[in-house]
Formats: sequence, structure tokens, C-alpha cells
Amino acid sequence: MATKVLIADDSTLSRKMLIKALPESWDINVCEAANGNEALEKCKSESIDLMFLDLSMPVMNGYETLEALREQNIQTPVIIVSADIQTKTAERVKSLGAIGFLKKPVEMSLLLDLLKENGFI
Amino acid sequence: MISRCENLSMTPDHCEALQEITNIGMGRAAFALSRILGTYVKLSMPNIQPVVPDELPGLMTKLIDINSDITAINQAFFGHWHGEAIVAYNEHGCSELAELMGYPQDLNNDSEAELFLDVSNVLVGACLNGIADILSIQLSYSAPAMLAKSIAVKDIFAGTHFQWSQSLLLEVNFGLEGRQFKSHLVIMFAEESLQTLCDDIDQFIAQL
Repeated sequence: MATKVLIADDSTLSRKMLIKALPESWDINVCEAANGNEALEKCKSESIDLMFLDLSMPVMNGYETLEALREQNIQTPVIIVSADIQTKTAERVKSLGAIGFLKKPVEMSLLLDLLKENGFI
Repeated sequence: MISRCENLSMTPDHCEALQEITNIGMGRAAFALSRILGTYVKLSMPNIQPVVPDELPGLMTKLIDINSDITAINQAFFGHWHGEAIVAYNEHGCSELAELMGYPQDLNNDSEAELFLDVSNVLVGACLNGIADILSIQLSYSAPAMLAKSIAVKDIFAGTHFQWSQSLLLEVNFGLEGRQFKSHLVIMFAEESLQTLCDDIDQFIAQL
């Protein structure tokens, strides 16, 4: 059964860049969201196996989305993909429950390592 | 993100792509600044909009929301594209930069200028190189120079006669957690580089 992957980013370009970086051999079904609120609704209504989440988004940003997931006890694993590559940012999102942090533009090898570490491939 | 690119020959796709690419460049600049200062740098959303010379002072005043006098550094970039970057600091800029970097508080004018020039050089290089890396192009830079010291934002370009009729302006700003420091980075692309920039974005999008 294909892994259901949600990509939440307000930038169409960023979503395309991330989709291009995903391993070709990985059996996935990708869906997209343009802000945290849309992402949260998808997590509630569908069975999402992994979410890639941007931090800087309108309506509901990535930090707020992580907090909402935690408050609503939604267990979807989240990998943050952000242009804010400061150490404190990575530490903060991990403290909010993210399982990984990738800088934009995503490097395929780092993405692959993270997916392997977390048992997705 | 704010985008008003419709007055230029840029499509919404160009603008959206440039905003995201600028976001990545801004992230690299913030990372570089945070490494220098050892503190977290707060980021803004990038502003991207066309500008004509007559509107530039008013637009700068609007974008650089600093009520006090500012100090501004400029640095030209050239190569595949060309244009000019300006980094503006609020009045707390120097004392807080000096403190965080371990400089004495009573800096003389030369040391103060050197501090601003060094930090501006890092911000401009990191941001523009971030944009250039994504679009696979190379840029070179002039040495940064003091454009204005302790003046109102609206007066930055007083007496300047511009050689261009329109430009594309990118603006990002940086703050420091728990500090009053504020810095704005404004990048203006030369008119003749705009089509090249659009072509570069097209090429990048086509690869996805």
C-alpha cells in the first residue's frame, strides 16, 4: 500500500521542488496543502503517513500547525522543510514534535537519510 | 508575501517563484547573521515590487519602517545580473552589533563604519548568493560603501539622478530576539537585467 505523503507549503514552487526531490522508487501518494489549516484538516480527514511542513505560511504557520497537532493529539509524523535554517529554529520545531528538519532547497541525500532513519523507506 | 509585479513583464509564476527563491536567500542571510552575532535572527516575509525612480523615496520610507534616523550601506552586484543592494540599520544597530560581536561600546567613526560594512557584506552576499545558487548563476560584488549616516529614510537618495526608468525591488528585514536592532536589506535589479531574471526563473521552473 502506498505511503500517503502530505506536503504543506504556500509556495507552489516549493511543493514542486520537494516532490522532485522525493525518491522515485518510493511508493507514495502525494497530496498538498497551501497552509497549516488545510494541512490540519487533511490530517483529520485522511490517513496521512508523513507530512512535510513549511514554517512560514499564511493563515496558520508551521509552528502553529505543530502546536495544533499536539493539542489535538494527531500523531502524524512531521518533517519541517524551511528556509529559516538557524539552529534555534531546528531545535524549536523538534521540541514541538517534528521528527526532522530539512533546509530549503531540499538536498536529496539528506532527505533520503531522514526517510531511512525514520523507517519510511 | 507581498507581490506587485504586474507592472513589469513578469507573470504571476515569475513573481511567486522569485518570492520563494528570495525567501531561501533571506534564510541564508539570517543564518549568516545569526552565526556572526550568536543570537536568533527574526525573519520577515519578502516584499517584491516594481519601482520607478520618482516613487523610490516614498517606497523606501514605507518599506523601511524605522522612525529614527538610519545608517545605510550600498553594494553593487554584477555579472549575470546587475543592480544594487542597500542595507539600512536603525539607530540601535551599531551599539547592539558592537556589543554582540564583543567590540568596545565607544567605537570611533572608522571602526563603526567598518562594522556596518562587514555585516552588510555578509548579509548581501549570503542573500544574493542564495538566490543565484538556486538559479545556477554567478554574481560578483563591489566593495560595500557607506551610502548615508544618521539620516531620515526619505533622504537616502536625495540629489541622486537615476539612470533607469523602472526596477524590481526586493526587501527583507531582520530583527534580533530581545533586542531593538532592526536591519532592512533592499535589492534593486537593474532594468536591463529584468528579462534575464525572468528567463532564469523560466529555466528553473522548466526543470521541475
